[in-house]
Amino acid sequence: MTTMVNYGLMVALFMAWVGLFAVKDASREAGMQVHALEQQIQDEEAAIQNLATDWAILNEPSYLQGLARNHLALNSMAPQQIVSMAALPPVPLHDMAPTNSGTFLASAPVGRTPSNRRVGAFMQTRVAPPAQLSEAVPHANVFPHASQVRPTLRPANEG
Amino acid sequence: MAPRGRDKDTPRWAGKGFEYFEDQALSRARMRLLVLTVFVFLGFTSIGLRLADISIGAQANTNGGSISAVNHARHRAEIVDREGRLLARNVDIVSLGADPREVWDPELSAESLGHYLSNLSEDTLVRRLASDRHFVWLERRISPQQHYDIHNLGLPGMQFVEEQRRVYPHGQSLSHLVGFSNVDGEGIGGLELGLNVLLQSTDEPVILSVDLRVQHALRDELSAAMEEFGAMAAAGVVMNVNTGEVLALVSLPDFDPHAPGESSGDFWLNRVTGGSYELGSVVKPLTIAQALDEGLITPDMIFDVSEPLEVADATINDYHPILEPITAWDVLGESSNIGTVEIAGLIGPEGQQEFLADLGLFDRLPIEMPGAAHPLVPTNWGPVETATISFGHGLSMSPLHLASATAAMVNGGFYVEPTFLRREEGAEIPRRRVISAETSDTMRAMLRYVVTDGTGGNADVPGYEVAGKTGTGEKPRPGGGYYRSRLLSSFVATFPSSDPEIVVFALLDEPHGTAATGNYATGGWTVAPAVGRIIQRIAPFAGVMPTDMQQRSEMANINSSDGADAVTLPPQ
Repeated sequence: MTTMVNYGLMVALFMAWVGLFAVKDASREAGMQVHALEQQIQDEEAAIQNLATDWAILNEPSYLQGLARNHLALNSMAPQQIVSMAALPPVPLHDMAPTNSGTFLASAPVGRTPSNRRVGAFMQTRVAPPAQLSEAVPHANVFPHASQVRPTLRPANEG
Repeated sequence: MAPRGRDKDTPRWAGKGFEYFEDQALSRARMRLLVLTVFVFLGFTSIGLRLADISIGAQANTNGGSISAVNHARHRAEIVDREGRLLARNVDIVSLGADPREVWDPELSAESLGHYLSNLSEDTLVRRLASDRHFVWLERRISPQQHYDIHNLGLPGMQFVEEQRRVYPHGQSLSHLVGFSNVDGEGIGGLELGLNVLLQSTDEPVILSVDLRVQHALRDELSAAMEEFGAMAAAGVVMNVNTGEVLALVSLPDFDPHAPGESSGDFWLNRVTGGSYELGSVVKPLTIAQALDEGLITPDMIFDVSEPLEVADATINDYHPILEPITAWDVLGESSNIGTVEIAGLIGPEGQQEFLADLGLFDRLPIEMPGAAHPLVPTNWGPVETATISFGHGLSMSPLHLASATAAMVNGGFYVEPTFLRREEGAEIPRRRVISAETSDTMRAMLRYVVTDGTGGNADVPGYEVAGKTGTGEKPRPGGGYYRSRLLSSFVATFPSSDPEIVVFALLDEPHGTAATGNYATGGWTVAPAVGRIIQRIAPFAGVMPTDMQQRSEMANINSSDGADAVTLPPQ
């Protein structure tokens, strides 16, 4: 009887040893993985830092000002060009031509059919998922007052 | 146990049978077994404990890198502007060294390296790689591309040493404000020095009150004005009147914070906090405000300024003689020295000293910036001093002193301590009342009058209700007296005058008039237009909307609703 218990204990001890070894091995593996990940995070953070520094350097205002002066026909903003959002007259959607930069201008003649319009990126991102963006979507959903207002936009300094 | 009373000569087993020996053998065997068990148990226990120890402590030992990476510089936190834009940061820079003992073939190595290190000749490389030292530098601060290429060469003995370097992405633009630090990571100038302890102890970015866009606009316009009028130097500061936060600080000429040693001492002077000047007429509003606050004058009181004024042994003149009697509005609007001195006469020396001291003009400003100037206060404050100080001569102060004092005139009457750190929302702002709210209201109106009807007209920007005061100080001669033609032209402005948010102060050191200004080099002709342009550029950044915006928008709507003249915006 005692012998049986002893054998049993020996087997249990062996199994515990095997189990402990397996756990230890797994933890070593995990430790190395953690270390590798930490190293990777550190590298990525260093890369992010370098990119953020590059970004800051490239966004240096006098550099941007030089670029804008040489390549864009832009001037400093005059106070007359600032109006409040609420003061803008509502404009029907079908009179807005989306531009590359995501802004849009009133340029289309009234009454043009909406069938051949490009759908601008600004609509896909801001208004509704693309699947719902068909010609069937009433403009009123986007701009509730669209049907009541004549399509005009004027420069603020005309007033 | 041996039985007692046994005879010495008798053996233990004498008279005992076979059983005795059997018992003895058994007990010995048991004893040995017990000892063995204990040893085996101890052995397994120690192995088990060691196993557990290794298993748990395994991670600590896995970090065995082979590249020597030495970090020389101390930790130093980032500096960002109030919107989180990067102003200063430590970046890792890799330098290339080598251990010549490990280099196999110096000449072959030098040839390979030569493709990537353009600064060093091959001979130099060979000499260094063949030396008998333990370590030689090959190239400090190599680019990431060089690092990658040389690493891929797989040359034995190469060592990449990581170092930290402080980078200022905006270079000269913020050199006086942010300052600079040395290779050991110690702040040497500007806020890098003033906030040195904080920068070394925190991991979070240090957020300044500065707005990078405002800073750029201020510097851009000031350097343009400096060039236009051939001035020696320029200084400017933009401050929030309610919180005391400095949004921009420019002192020209400035320097490259990456190589501060290449500039001479004059470039290092921060004129806004470290310079001390007799600023001239921009001080007049303080005199007027005190007289108003103490009920000594009203804005409509009439003053006779037609004759030069004798005070003790000094004669007070106006820049342009004004022959008819004028109100206090025009004393400020026309910047009459005589009128201001008459008002100062009502206040008297003691009252004037008390008030100016209350505005912090006798003390160093309690700011984070090192090297804050101590104002130069006359030792003997008699009637002459009272007279001249009332219009800004005889008392030297830094431009930031004046900006803070002027802010107190227009913000409802509170002196707010200036700061270069962003104030948290809802944080208590250290301030003290110096004039009443009513006086502050009157001062806003009077300063607005200077721009609409007085000498400050060139600073006006339609829509922003600019209020302000011109200043033209004559520079003191070393031996006493003043130079007539060496001027410190300045302008202090606040906007919008109905509820001021921002105070702007700008200064040109010895500007020269041009044909366009009728050869005038005074503040109203040289600095005021620049301040107007600065305000036009910074107002949107400072969140100030044009006050006539609503009105214009309504007009635009009325016009558009008739539909007859629909306007199409031009394409971009």
